[in-house]
Amino acid sequence: MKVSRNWLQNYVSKEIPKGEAFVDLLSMNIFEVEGCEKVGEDNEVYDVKVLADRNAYCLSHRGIAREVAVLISADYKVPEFMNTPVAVSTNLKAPEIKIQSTVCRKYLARKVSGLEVAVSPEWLKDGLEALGQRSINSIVDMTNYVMMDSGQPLHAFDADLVKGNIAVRMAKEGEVVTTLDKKEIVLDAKTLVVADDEGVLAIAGVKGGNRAGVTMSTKNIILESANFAPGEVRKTSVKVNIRNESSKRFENDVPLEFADVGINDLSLLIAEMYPKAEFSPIFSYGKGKDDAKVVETTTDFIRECIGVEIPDEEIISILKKCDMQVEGNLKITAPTYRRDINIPQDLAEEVGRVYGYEKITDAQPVRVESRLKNDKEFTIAEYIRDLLVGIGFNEIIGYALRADGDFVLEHPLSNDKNTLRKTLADSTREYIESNSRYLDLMGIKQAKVFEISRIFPKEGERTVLSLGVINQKGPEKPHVVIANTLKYLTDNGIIVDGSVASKINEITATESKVVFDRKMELCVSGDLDLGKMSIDGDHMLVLNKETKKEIVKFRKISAYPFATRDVAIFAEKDKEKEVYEVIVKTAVESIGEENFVRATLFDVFTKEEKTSYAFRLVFQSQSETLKDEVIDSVMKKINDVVMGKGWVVR
Amino acid sequence: MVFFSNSAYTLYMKSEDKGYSHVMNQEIRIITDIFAELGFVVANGPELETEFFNFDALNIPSDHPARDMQDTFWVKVPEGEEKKLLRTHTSNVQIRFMQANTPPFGMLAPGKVYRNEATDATHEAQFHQVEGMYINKKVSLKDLKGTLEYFFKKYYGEDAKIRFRPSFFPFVEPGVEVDVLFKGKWLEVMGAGLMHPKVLKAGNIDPTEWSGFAFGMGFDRIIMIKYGIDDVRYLYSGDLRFTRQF
Repeated sequence: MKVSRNWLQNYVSKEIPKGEAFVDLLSMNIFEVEGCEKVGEDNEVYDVKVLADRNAYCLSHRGIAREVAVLISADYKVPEFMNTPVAVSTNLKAPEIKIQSTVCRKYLARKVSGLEVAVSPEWLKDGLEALGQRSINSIVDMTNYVMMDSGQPLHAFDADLVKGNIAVRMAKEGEVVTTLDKKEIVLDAKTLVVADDEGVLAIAGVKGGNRAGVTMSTKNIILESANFAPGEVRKTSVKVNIRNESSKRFENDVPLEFADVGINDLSLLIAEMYPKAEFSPIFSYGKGKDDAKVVETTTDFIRECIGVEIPDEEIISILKKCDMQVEGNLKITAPTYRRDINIPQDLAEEVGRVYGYEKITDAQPVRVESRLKNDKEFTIAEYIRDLLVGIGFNEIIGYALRADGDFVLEHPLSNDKNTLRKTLADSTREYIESNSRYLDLMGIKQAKVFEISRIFPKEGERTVLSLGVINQKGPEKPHVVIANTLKYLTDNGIIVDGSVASKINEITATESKVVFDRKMELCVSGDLDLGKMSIDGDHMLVLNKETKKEIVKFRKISAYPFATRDVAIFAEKDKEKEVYEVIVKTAVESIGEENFVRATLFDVFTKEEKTSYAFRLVFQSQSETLKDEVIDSVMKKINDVVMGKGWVVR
Repeated sequence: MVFFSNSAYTLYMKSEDKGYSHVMNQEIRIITDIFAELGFVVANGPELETEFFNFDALNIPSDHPARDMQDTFWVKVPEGEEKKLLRTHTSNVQIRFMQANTPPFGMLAPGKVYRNEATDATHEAQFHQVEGMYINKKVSLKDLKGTLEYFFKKYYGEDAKIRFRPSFFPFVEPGVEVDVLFKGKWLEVMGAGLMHPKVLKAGNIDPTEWSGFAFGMGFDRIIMIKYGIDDVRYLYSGDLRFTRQF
């Protein structure tokens, strides 16, 4: 919620810190402050992230001022004039409201007459706009202003447009209301409404209707300051899809006493702006205040929770600053507006944050004797991971949301991600196919991929392993690699029920699948159930622990195509390393390290005294498609340097 | 075939026939190893979860605004069956682990979680969390701070520092946000706190006898910071150009 510094200052006896000091004070001791904006000559507006459990009292300047006062050891003070109610006119009768549902917990209303609704004065307009609120007219703006001040949502009806009597009742099934912003909403019988003889005037706590809305021609109004059951407001606002400042406060359980503050402050403000206005007595339904909550604990318990030796006096002093009554050691009566104080731990939080969590120093880690074992599935997965990585497999973590699964999402992000995947086989295949385009870039001849993830077939969730291999059509057969890999796992102590043997047979019988214009061959194992695996006790489980792993800097994957060139060089025997270094050095010098990816030796043969080394060079830029001429000139340079060494380019 | 690893040139993907595990699982192994030294064991729980374990048992009742803190993927179920969802956090493992074990214990639960939110460079609908829970007699915020400091010093280096800020999560009280100082900047990395007595009760543990702390960290972000990965979507792209860099 956005709050203005000068506004807060009205309620705090000492000067409030400014700028960064304010941001830090609140962020470290109660709420994160996301923004601090200078407004006008001498004011600042802060965007305070009120925590959900304190929304009930802190979605307001008064609430945040209370907390600021606690943190700077100042007093929270309401200016005297605000405690004196407006004079009631004998000419006006209080409105009669029929309350017909317990969803309405409290309802205060009064008639105000003799108004001339107009455009708001600058101070009001600017004040609201600084908080991100749109100015509408003087009366509506004042209801919003008082809400921002007190936390109590308020509403005004044009009294002359109300037909007959007002009732707070459940809507009739199918009853329609047109909102202030001219939206037609069809209501059901579970929706609480404020209605007159003719129909719905407002969706209680959520949105006013258009029919009796306050306009520039309004002369007389009925003010509403009410309290509605939070869960019901929330259900309704979700159902009619209207979330606003009012519904947000009500669903967070506005304290009952705020209704009195709200109607009083709003009346005072109206009286100030319209000295001739007349006020009726207040119609009042419901309890004045919530019951005070008593929490019993001890200062020892509070110290135990925080772990710091805070003296009794300091604990008690902090709790008193927070407006709590303290008796003995330690019976606390929390102020009635504090919905978040329910258990002793809540008091530990008050003491801890005000005292300052930064004062928890010299903390040591806990240690516990481990009688328990790691989860079996986790252990098996870790072991498989090491075995597979050791024989050249690469792990991926695919996307769990796909089309065609058995479990369907209620509100998917998109239609191709509307279910949970029921097998890994399809995604493994898609991932190896897309990776096959980058084999040269990665300097590998074969993409060997595995994933260990959950699948969600209709029988239920389980963890499976899936393997996939793809390479150019040739003597290397992916299905043979996969069949051998499964044998390798069992040889290394991964015990599986009979299904692996049949999987091996199945893979061997089906052979590899030819794809991409018969250029590539692939094979996918399909799902292998980790739940059916165990580890042979004879195989010592030694996981590959790399505690001192080098932290490599991630290099962005280029969106531009890569280019390859092959070069074969005749040199002396055992010159492989030297030839490689000459090629790489020349390439890097002429095109730049950022555009040269690698040189991979792909063929070697020796004829008489000379050996031929064939390298595949890969080029790629992060920012453009490299031109053929540029790469050709690199190859020309390599050619020249090689010749200069007395070697021969074939 | 052969690649000279001692090359004078830093080339970004190695071409040897060696395989690579996913950086996420490499890092999960590191964190579980660090916590294993303190006696914490690894636990697991379902990703397709019931409303009870994901919300109610964690003191997040229905029709409560706290449910808004997480955008949930609800899964269609036949009329009359218990509502199911993709877990929005690994905290569901807390309840299942407590119900199956007797304290004192320390537990770590790494795993995939889901949020129904549009994806971009910093948001993914699927990501990883690591949940931690420790239950013993008289557990304090100081114990939590000491344990997390120990972890971050081992993980990010000896000069890593942490700080607590007040926060709110329905399943802990007091609740804190944990920031870690990394390369001169405070970064928000996890939520934590002392376990709420209602949550202990839901796990069949007597809150008058036992107390505990719990934490949950978005692990993707922690890894991205460590390696300078600028887009979370790489992690789940299935792209070996990503896998083979780590």
